[in-house]
Amino acid sequence: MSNILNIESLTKTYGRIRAVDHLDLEVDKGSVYGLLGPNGSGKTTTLGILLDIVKPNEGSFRWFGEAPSAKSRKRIGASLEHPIFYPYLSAEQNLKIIARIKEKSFDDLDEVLKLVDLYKRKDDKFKTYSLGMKQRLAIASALIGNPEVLILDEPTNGLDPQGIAEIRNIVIRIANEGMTIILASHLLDEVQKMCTHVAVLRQGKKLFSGSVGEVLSVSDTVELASANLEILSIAVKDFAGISNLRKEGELIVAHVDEGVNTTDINEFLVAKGIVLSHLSLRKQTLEQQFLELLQEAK
Amino acid sequence: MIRLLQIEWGKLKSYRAFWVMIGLYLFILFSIIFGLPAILDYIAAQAGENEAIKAFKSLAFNFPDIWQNIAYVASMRGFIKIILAIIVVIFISNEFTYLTIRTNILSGMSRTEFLVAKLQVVFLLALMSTLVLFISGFYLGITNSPVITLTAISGKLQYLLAYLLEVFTYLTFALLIGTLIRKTGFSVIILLLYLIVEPIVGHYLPDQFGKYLPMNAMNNVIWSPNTSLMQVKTPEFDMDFQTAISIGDVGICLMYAIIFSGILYLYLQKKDL
Repeated sequence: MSNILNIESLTKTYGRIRAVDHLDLEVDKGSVYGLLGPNGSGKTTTLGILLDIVKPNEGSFRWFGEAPSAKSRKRIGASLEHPIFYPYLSAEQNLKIIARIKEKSFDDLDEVLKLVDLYKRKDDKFKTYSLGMKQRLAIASALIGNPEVLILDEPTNGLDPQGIAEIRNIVIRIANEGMTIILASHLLDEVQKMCTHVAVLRQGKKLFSGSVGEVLSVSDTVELASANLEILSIAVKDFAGISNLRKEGELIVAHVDEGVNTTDINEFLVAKGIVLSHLSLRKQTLEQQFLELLQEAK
Repeated sequence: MIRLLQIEWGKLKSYRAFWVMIGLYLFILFSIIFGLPAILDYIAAQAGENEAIKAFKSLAFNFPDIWQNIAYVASMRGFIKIILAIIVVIFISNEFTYLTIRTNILSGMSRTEFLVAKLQVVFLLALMSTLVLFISGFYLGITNSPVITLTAISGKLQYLLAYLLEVFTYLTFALLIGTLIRKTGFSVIILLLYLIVEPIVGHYLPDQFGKYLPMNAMNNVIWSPNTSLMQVKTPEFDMDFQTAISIGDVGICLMYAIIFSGILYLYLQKKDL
């Protein structure tokens, strides 16, 4: 089975709020899977359930094709939300505790500390660390014992641009070595730069999932204008490959499927007797797409 | 099992506050155990080498009564064992306030293992306390007993076993409070408040139920010191003294240890962390 993770109809409610709402997800081996959504969309709750921190109300999930257990969690390296360590212990002492829990040797502790550039500070207490160092230590702790899957929750949250770049480089380097990564983020840019696959979450529901490339290719829109927008909008509806028509000022804006080109649209409309005063194809950024997805779901 | 202890040891060995409190506990415990005979000596000296006080001292710290007497003093309700309970409350509520319990679980510790690890530490703390009693009791017994035979020394050692059970049960109670409340300061307040609440509840309960309340149940295991001197019964001085450990009382105390662990188990299995 090449599926690392299968989630079926996972649901978690807090009172009347549905933090995770019948979520289905599949993560393939070797992919870098982005969970993308605004704050409060259920990303951390979902990861919490997958790691037995949060108990779901409904639904199930399987790690490595097996029912989840402490044993399967030992094959996963994870850091949730804020970096959590014993503040009065040094970085190395904290990592040793995690290595013992995972039943892994201490052999690679120096290596992971060097990877995140904390080796020189390994004997300093965690509470003396800056936020960037704490975030990096969280990544180091997740890498102990060379796990099969890496789970990172907002790994660049609260960092300065340099810190963000450092962490992204580390993650991309690890991903290139073939490790499966699940990354939760509210930053499109981050998902776009690091992930191969993405699921967009909003209020605990999955709005969309697929490869990042797929998201980008379906995200083209076309802008149309003519003397009479009413007639134009009725006519263009019949064109195969156009959907989601809406008016934006003096323009008609619509989604176009991949492979549709503007010449075809123009010919189609001319045949109907409509002359266009404006026609252009707009390549959308993931950000526009993301905001649009969130808008549509409202 | 060893792995879980190694993990807990890793958390505690560099935790200064923990060792300062253990040191404080041991200091107070030793001060009481060794201070009492010293005070008696002092009083006797002030009273012109008073024979009655000297006799009381040698009877109180005589084998085998010494085991019962120091076990009684060390296990008194709301007395020095409360320090151990506060240590346990800090030890467990830290995991919730620092959220480190999450790191433990997501790294691959099962929730049951987490509980077993904590119970192991609690048991070791109770064992440490019992060993301190054994060592200091042995020293005092040797220096105060006129006759030292193996039968005399081992005569009332079962009181130390009873002490171990009583302290372990109390520390499991502290573990439960710290887990349910999760906040260190508030847990300590509840722990102290309960010492007042239970007698009030007990006051309104019919007498035969009072002894089933948790603190009462624990304290009933060792409920009074027993020296040969105190066994004197007169119509004016008609108090009962404990002459043996009741299996029934031990059973009730043990049941509480099991109930507390059971609640902890269910709570940890079901709750979000």
